[in-house]
Amino acid sequence: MNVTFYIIITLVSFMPVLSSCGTANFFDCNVGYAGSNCARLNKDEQARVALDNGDVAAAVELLAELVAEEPDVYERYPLLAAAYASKSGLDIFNIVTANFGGDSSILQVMETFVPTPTALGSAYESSLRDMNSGVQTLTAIPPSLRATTSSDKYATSAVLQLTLYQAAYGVMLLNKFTYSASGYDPSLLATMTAEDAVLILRAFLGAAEAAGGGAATSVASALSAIQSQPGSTDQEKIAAWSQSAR
Amino acid sequence: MKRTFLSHQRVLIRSSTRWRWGLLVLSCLVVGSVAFGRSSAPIYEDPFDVAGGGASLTRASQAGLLFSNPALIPYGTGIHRWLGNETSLIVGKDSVDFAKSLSSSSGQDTSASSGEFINTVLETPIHAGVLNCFSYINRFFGFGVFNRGEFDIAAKKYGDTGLPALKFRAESYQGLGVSVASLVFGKMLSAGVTGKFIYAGEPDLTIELTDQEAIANLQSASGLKSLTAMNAGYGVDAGLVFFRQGSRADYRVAVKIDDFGGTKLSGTGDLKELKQMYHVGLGYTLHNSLDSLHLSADYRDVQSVSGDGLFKRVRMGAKLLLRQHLGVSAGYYDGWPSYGVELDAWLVRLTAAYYTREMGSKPGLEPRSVYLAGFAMGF
Repeated sequence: MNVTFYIIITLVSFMPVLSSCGTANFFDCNVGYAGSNCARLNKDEQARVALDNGDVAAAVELLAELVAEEPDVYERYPLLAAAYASKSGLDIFNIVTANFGGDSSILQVMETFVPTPTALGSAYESSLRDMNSGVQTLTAIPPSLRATTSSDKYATSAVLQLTLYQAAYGVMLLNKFTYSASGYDPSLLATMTAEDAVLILRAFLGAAEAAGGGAATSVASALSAIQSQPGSTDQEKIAAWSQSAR
Repeated sequence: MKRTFLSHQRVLIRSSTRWRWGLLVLSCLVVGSVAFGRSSAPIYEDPFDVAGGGASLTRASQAGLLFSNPALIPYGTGIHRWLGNETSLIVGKDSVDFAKSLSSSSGQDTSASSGEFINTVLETPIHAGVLNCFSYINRFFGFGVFNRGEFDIAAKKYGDTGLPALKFRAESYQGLGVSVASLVFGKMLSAGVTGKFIYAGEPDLTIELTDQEAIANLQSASGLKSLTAMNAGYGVDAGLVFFRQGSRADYRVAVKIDDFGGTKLSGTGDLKELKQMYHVGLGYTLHNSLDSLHLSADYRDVQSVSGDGLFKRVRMGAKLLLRQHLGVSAGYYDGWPSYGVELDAWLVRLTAAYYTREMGSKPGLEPRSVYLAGFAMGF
């Protein structure tokens, strides 16, 4: 055997590794080498990878499919709700670390991170729908399985998320009448209908009833404050509160 | 007519009844009970072996011999093999990249991107560790005192229940291994045994950032103790290597039993036993008097007692050793490509490796790309 033979054998030996440039796993079904006994990710794992990679749209799609296929597996619901909330533009880290126990109103606290029509423009309605889907996902869990005292991790997470997302949904609904495409615009409050006001109050009431920690207390305080505002209709009271609370 | 590798193997097996006896012994060794166990990886690996895909049953470097396969000890020239200390540092590529981005962005206005910064911190797993082993090896026996500590901290924006969570995992192994080995049937068969004392812990903890009770518990003395709890015990590994040497090509078949009969660990930690595992490996070496190219493939944990996926149990790689001082290796470690170089400058041995360790149960779930730098002094 001569030097050339050695060089050829060496190159052939190292070629499979070098050709993949450090990016492909030999056993990955999608990008690995054909014929290897690959390890295919199931949908749960694909959703997990999508979430970790920030692809919330893909995660929502996968988790929604799984929930539809196995509606009794409630462990997935909070994860799907979180994915919906994230898709709506809400940063989950901001909302769970927000200080709801201080002197600030729920509006002041959430204003810093809840999406607004100013920021999202025409995509705001889609954002609202996603947030509502997050709320609906959590309310689909039987109430008896949503309990802060439950030993199931998903149950306590569901209660906390339901409070936060309903509060966020209420604030987002209100933002439709306080923010225009160009910025804060309280004159839009005059366009709020009775139905709009009921939706906002229903969201806040749901958040308060979910009883998920400090946010629920803060929302309950907001509901009391709305009740005590001047005005004869719900929309007048909400309009007055929204300006005083800011 | 030129022989292919397989035809050469067939000739090899036919050529001697001693091989039949060897295969019979090998067959007997892989019959045993299936049990639950820890990771299928060796408790200590040499950096150059890691770079070569971790396929070290048929060829291992220095202290790696003791824990990869003690039956490899007799193969080599002379009586003395190695006396020295090796220290390796492990740093996650993500951490390095993050540090680089911080240094490159210093001086810029970061107030506007504080949210982005927090997100980056949340998405940047921290993986680091250290390996150290002082060892002495000669043709007949060897011992090594080793320490291996590796931890992984990953903040998840979406934990298992959708809320942000922090995942902390660590592997801490310290101990002593004493190996003896002997050649049987000339150089065709080698048998080796390693007796070991292990002091080990594998904390694995996930805390949701909203779980105040768990966070408070972690700050308490008992909570911290659960993270640092270690267990200790004695165990035995055994290995066989069938070796067919040619003037330019060698063949090796290896079988190894880790933790023969199961290594019981006692203490307050959760790791109570290292289960018995069987591994088999194949090696093919092309060589002349100074250079060699070693191709190897290991099938670890044949009975799958560890629960590891196939991607973690199959290891393969190539090591090219030039003039006995320079080495280049590449392979598949946990299914991911790995690379490394080694410079053996007589008293000093330097190794650099890049590999990816899969922390998840399937490829791509939680890969951690890792830089490893090793420094050894010895002779």
